[in-house]
Amino acid sequence: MIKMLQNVNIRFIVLCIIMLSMFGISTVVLADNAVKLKVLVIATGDATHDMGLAYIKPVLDEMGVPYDVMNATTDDLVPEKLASINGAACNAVDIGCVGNYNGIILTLSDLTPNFTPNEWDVLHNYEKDFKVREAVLMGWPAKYWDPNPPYGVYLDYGLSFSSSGKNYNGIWSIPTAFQKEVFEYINKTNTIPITDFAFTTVPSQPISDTNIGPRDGTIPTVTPLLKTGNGEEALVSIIQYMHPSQSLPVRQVLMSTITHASFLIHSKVIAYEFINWATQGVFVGARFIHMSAHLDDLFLENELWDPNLKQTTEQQIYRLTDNDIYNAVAKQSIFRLTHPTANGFKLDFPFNGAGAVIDPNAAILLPNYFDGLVLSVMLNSTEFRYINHTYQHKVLDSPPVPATASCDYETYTTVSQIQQQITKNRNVWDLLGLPERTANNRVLVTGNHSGLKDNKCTIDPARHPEMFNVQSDDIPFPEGTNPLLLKAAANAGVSYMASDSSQLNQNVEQYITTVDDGKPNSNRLILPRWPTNIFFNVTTPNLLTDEYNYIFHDRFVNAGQDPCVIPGAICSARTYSEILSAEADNALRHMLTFNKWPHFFHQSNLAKYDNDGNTLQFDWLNSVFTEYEKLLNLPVKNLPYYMIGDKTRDRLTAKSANIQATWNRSTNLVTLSADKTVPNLEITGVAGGEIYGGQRIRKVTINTTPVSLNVNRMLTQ
Amino acid sequence: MKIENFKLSSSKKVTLLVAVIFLISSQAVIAENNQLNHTHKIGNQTKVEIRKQEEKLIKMKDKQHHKQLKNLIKQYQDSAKIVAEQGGNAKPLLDAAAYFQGQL
Repeated sequence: MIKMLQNVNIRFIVLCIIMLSMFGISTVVLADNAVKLKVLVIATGDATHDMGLAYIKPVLDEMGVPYDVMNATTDDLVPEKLASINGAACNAVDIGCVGNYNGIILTLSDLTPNFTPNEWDVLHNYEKDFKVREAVLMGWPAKYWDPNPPYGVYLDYGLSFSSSGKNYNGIWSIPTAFQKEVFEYINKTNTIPITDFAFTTVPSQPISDTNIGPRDGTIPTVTPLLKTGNGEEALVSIIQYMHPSQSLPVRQVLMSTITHASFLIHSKVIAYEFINWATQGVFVGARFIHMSAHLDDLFLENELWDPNLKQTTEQQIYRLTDNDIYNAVAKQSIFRLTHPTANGFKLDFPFNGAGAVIDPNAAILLPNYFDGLVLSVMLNSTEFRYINHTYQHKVLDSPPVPATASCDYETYTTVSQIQQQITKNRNVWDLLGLPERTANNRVLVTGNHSGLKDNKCTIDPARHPEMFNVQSDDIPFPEGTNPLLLKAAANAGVSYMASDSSQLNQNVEQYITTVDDGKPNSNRLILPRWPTNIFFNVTTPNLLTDEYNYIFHDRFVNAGQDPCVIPGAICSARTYSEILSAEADNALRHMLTFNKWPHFFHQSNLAKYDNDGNTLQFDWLNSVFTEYEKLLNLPVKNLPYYMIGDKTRDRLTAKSANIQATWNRSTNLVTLSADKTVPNLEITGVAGGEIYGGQRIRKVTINTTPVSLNVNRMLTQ
Repeated sequence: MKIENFKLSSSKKVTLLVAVIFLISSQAVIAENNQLNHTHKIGNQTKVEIRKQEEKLIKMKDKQHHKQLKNLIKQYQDSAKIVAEQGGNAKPLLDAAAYFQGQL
């Protein structure tokens, strides 16, 4: 009854508007014509069951895009979920009716088994009513009939199956009309290998008496965006649903028939566009590509791999020379010139000052000017960036309990001892005249990331024959964190601490809240770093290749095992070029997560290993950027670690806030507010801010007072 | 426009010379670097094979992937049933289910 009355009211208002218009009287816009900036992901299960959800969820999270997930297997899609006033479903023309979502993502094209024809109608009606787009991550190019009243075709992507396979070479074919809107970030001059299963499609036969179209009277028109090598089959398409009498589509879908997973590179390349398309390029959040390379242990030496003994040995060590530093300066310049996306790239050196002074134990520290390495770093100081890696690279794990118990390594028992390791390194920073010391005070990389997990004093298998695995008694992060280290870091004004993303629980950006560090209002934040297989103990391709193949292949063969069935092992030994190719792909996977985590290496990897000045470090960087630039054209952000910390802190603040954002299509304004202050919130698709990948990305601080920004989708620039 | 108008001051000449030298030298180093990179080049087919090998390794380590595959297989079988009931060709869907079954 209430609904009937509402309808009568609405009809009366519409009639009034028409009459006023007829008499030339200007009218106010009564309907809101607005949607919230939030994505609805319709999945077929949780992320442990739905491959599509497991694929797109981390992307949404990393970009900071607000979203809801609806499990189509257990929940029904009803109109009031999409738009409602006081719990009752409403339409776009209703006063005060705001659509709850500005983009729809389906993890599977036909949402089998439980999404009913009626739910499809509800979804499509919302998309048409609120002009909201849909992106389909994967699946069958379905065309399904409803066997029950009101009958007719309820789902039709306008595509027909052509072939299937797991080895396609995708060719980009974006028509001019869409070039400023979709896949702007792609290097379309190259093909993209599709390395797992895909259906390919062709546009269906035109709608006719014998080929009936969707029951809402629309006609699907297909525009292929990514085709197979023969140029005749589509892997990704836009489908626009038109009414025969109208020139503009009433509904638009981006459809992929490639099976996606978060570890597939082609999937990672395409992922952004699903979100960008669905939201029409206007959303809370943003994505950037990052790459930083940290070379730990500057001024110290690293032990090297012995190919004969198949182990690391103290007898062979490497410490960079002045020649290596001058070579690195030149190689870095060439690297920037060679790779257009790496403009301004700088290596970062987490350094240990004890290796740069004449007497590390002296009360007054003096720089060792007689050391070519020290002098060359000082003379080229602005060519690189620096990070506090502690004065002596000591293990900063918790001391043994009881204190008299034996320990494989030396430990500190007081806060001040650890704090000195931080502050003395800052003194050396100043003595050497290295840049940006103050900004870097808030960052710390401990030696071997020690102090975050507790090795319980057992790291040397030779000293513990009774233990099958010396790591079995380790206490992982965060329980294993050394409170003395946390207090020392807090006292020294350190806000951000590096962690090793390959270690248990350390692959999440998070505040350390389990330890009382004496500063309850400002916990330390861990910033994960990616390890690579450019090991700490190698300086040349031969050493790297030998150790790599030993670890991942030869030792299993030597033990009579088949490496092909062992997780993490490789079926056949690799050449240096093949190792670089695999490493480049792994780095590419990391970059395409959009997270800001640096990759960490060691000073030994910067050794000049031949007369051409080649180094393992720049071989790796060149391989990574060559592969990256084949696929994408986005500039790569190379941020200082403290800035990564600042941005991570802001992102965590945004994550913990309840952000409200609405896009009013009539005024073309986005209005934002939050339940608390959120600094530097990134918004894509509004005027102002930085242009990245052909889109505007603006940072804005929001709070409980709403702020409005003009939408600028950059469709003509 | 007369050619005299293009006369440059000494400082501009020096700037121009430096710019030209920089341009030539930067192109030279790019060319040199490309040549050096070439020594590490392998064929595209090998690269794709390595990519597939790495993706297989990640799959093997991904504890959720097995469950997700099972779910996907069931969904393609369900879709095949719908397609068959509606008189369509369900074979590609059953082939897809079989492909993923082979990965379990």
